Amino acid sequence: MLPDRLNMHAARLAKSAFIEHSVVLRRFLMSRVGNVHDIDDLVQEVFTRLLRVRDTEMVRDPLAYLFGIAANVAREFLQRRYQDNVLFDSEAADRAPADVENPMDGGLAERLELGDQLNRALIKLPPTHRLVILLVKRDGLSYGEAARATGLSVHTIEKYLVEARALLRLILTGKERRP
Amino acid sequence: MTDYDTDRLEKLLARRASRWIEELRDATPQKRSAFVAWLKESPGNVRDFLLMSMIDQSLETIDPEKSHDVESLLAAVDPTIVELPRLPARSARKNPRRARWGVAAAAACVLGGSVIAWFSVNHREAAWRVFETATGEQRAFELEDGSMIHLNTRSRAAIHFTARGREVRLLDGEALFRVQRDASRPFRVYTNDAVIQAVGTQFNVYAHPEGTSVAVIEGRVDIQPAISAPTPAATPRRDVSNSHAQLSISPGRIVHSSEEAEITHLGEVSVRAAPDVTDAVAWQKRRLVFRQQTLEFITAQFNRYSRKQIRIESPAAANRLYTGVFDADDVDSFAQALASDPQLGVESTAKAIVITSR
Repeated sequence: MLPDRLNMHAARLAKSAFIEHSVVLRRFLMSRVGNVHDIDDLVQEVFTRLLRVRDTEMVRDPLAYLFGIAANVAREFLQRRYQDNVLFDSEAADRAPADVENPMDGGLAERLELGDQLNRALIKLPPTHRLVILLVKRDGLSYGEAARATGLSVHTIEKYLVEARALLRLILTGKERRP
Repeated sequence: MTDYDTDRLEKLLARRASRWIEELRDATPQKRSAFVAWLKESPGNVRDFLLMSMIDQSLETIDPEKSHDVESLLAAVDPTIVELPRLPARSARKNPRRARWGVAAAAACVLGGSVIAWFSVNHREAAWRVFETATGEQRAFELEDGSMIHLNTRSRAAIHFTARGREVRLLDGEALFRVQRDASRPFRVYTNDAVIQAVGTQFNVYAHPEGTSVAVIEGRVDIQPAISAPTPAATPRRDVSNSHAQLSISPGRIVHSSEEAEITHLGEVSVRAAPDVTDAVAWQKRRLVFRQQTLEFITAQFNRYSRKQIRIESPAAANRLYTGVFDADDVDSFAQALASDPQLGVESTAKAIVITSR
């Protein structure tokens, strides 16, 4: 296990790659949590493009490749939807260009909505899972600090985070997966 | 699949995607390349990981009003990891070969017609030899090529050597293989979940109810998941040519020393670094090594070695995590160690140990 500081550095690097591309991607995915087909189309296209990237290339920074490709595909999908819309919906046409060019503005509502969903899902987690999420994610404690605060080991903190995220995912997409 | 299976699978998939986020925090080149391989396995993996990353990132802004009180949660948290005292090793066991044939006969009766038919077919052709161990028994066998098979408790392996290949079917339980190099005759171990091929190496294979675990101690192995492994009952004779054809369709997953692979019944292979890989073969010294494992898992391991079975009667107790090193033959000392955990009630009789929570 690397020292916490190095860990955080690595996490920051990974995060910056994500944030760069995530706004448009997250917007796409979140607005379609209820729409399996759209997400499947996007994922299929991302997958096909991933296969074209040589392993040796991608291994250097897999997250940058993944999120970069996914954001591009999402952008293309949004653009195409906008063009489809123009044909019959002038109101959508008025709104859409701003959305596409400046995803930050358009994404705000969805971000709030996801935040809402996550906050509601958080209550459904078992207490220790909830505690670890709050300490590490909300309060920004390192794993080591969270371990000291709870009396658990760093390894266990990690286990709870893995489990908590998995549970949140199941709670959030529950409707979609079990029709 | 039943609803229960679907739920369980969903949970496994979500957890796996979630684990990758942790793995990538301090990613070594090996981890990154394992991650790339995993992503390229299926669109489902890409989808799971994208959704999981999005959730992870959104968690940074969770609970902006700080409506959750960490202090009260902290007060309620019960650190469930209990470090048990290390027990002294016990000297060599007694009575190593008891009831071998009795168990074989009993197993054949229980499993019924197809197994008996398979045994008789193979006896006639003298192609397969079966090795097995009774409860609590461990045995090592040397094969004609100099390779060694060390069988753990309650295990069964069938062996078939030809000029073209060396085949072992691990029908039950766990075995450690020390393989002599022979490039012209690949050494393959079949379980219900995978074909594991070795080149001059040492590795441990455990066929358990959830799938197959492979730990590589030395060298490397190639794992070909699931579906291609023919069942011994169905195709006892033409395996070698069959498996050749199947193995050439797609290259398997390479697992190196100090790595462990888990193969599910669905043919999914996951590989993780295992710096403590020798834990996987501590059973050779009749030691059981656990690092933060559930009581449920630990008792299942003890129950493999002993006629005296441990039964857990409360789900809360089953989920408690323990760390410790134990003598596989000394279930009573383990029960005593457990009794020191104030959360548990331990009741020991001549035939069984019953665990409840308090």
